[in-house]
Amino acid sequence: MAAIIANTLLSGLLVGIMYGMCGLGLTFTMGFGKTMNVAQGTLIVLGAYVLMTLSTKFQMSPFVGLFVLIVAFGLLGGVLDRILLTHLRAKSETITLLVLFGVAQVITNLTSWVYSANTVSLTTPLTQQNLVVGSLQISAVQLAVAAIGVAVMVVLYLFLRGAPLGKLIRATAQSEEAAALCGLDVRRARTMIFALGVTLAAIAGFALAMLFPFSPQDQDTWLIISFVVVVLGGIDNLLTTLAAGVVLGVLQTVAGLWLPFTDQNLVVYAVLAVALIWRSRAATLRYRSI
Amino acid sequence: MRRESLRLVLVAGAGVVVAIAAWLLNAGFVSVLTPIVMYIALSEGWTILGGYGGYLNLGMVTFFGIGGLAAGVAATSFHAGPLPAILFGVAAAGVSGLLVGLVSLNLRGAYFGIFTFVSSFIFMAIADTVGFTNGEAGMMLPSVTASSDAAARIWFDAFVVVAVVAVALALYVQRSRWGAALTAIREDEPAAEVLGIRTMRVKLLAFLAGALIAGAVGGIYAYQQQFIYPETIFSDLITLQVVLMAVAGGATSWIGPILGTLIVMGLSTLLQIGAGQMAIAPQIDRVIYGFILIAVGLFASDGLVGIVSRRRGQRRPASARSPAPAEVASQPKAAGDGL
Repeated sequence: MAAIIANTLLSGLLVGIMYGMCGLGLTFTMGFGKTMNVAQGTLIVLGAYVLMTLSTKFQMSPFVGLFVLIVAFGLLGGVLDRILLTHLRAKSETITLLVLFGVAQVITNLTSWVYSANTVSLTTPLTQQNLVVGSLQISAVQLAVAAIGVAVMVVLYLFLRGAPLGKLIRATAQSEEAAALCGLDVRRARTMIFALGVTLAAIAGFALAMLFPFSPQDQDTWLIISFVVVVLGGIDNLLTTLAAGVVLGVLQTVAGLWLPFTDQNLVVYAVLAVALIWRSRAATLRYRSI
Repeated sequence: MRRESLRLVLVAGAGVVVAIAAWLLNAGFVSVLTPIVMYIALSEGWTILGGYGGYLNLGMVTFFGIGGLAAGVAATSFHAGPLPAILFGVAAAGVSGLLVGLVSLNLRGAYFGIFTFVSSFIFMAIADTVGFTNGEAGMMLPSVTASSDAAARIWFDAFVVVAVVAVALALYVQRSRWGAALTAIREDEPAAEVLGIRTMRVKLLAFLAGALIAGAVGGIYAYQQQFIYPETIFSDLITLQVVLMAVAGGATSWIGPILGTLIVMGLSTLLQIGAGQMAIAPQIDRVIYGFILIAVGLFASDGLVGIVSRRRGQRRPASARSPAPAEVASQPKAAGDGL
């Protein structure tokens, strides 16, 4: 009994880190960039598909593929920002939302057209391996992905803290006007923020490909999860986002002990409802806030 | 105001003419026209909150689906007639609209968009699992008459009724105080609040109007199709099309959605013809819609109506918080915005 609970908690923790990774990208674009990235879910799924292609067509190890993903999606994010979003910053948030909605539709349906709508999954040498520690059975894939997730989090944190570009990003996020007045390249910062957000989504896509089966239609599932994690964790803090992901993961796997498999998502929705009602009282998401 | 009354009469008159015409035309032709009327209703309902108010409801299909499912439940489990069932659908859409609206309208415009988008999938998932709507398998609704030709015309007329109501409502709201309040909210919500506009109430009513209309359309749709299941009745394609039609046509005006619907449906028909001949995959039309949406957002956020009024030399209506140059001088809000 204790072993079952321990294993469940552990699995929830590891999966939760993956959820946190989904949320990180959205926190970045929404919190730092004030851009409503409706395309988050579809970018995650696209990342998973690209990784799969790299792995199967090009025989790349997934971990090498991860670096390719980071570079490719970083570029994609930067290009998207420069072509589309930079021009829209002068207009309202809702037009940006509209355009990103269009982008999400384009990406989702192109993915579906190229890869077909079937559900696929990626198998790697690690896939079925379990580490056995005492009575705990730890899935090797989950552990590897979680480790990468934590590593990404640490790198990101250090980058934002120490690197000049990281400081530029934080300054712009805090107050664009003040940053501009100090002579900082705000436009560049905005592009970097969105590019980073997209890159984080791609990393989450890597995690997705490693852990779960996926199909183009799943973009809504991952958008929901990203959104729930962000609402729960708050859009200002990367660490709480990751923690919120873990909370969600644990809640879901623990609930999975009682609920049938198909109902597990209801847990996510319930958490969303609760988190929204709780958060809508706070200043963070309301229109009155900054 | 006389002009408004005249326009309302014209709209109602057009509706009557179209409804009668359905019985004179080929039934197949009527079936082709049905989606057009349906989407006119949906996009007009959307634009009251979305275009006038600036709150993009990216989950319009939620209430469409709830209306359809509720009507289906009323028809199958309670053996209600078509009209009571559809009204039940409207009521269900209204109640859920109230709930969703109360939670989501507290959120800022853009967060509202992402939340409504997300909620449409949530409702679909719930509909899949909950037992009394028969889950994924869907429901069959009884047909109203033996003749499918007559049925097509009956449901077409039902859609026309809802569409006339929707268009009339949008027309009325645009020039009313309610519409002015919505415009104020769209342009600068904190300022609107300061002026004493009860923004939550205004937004909620607009949201409800859209939800009720969508619920009615959904209920009628369920009967027209006779077979519904969660995948189709909560499909995000419906949301995409509604948003596209309203925005491309011009969401800030009552006539925009009508124009937009005609354009997009025309385009869709062209694509279908092309698909037949050139073997275009079905997803490509959504890709095209996405591109159109991007283009409209980038270049013509007022839609067709905006383009026309700019050509005519009229002052561009301030679309969603971007001040036209002439207005900036008289509205000293830029400096304090967001701080």
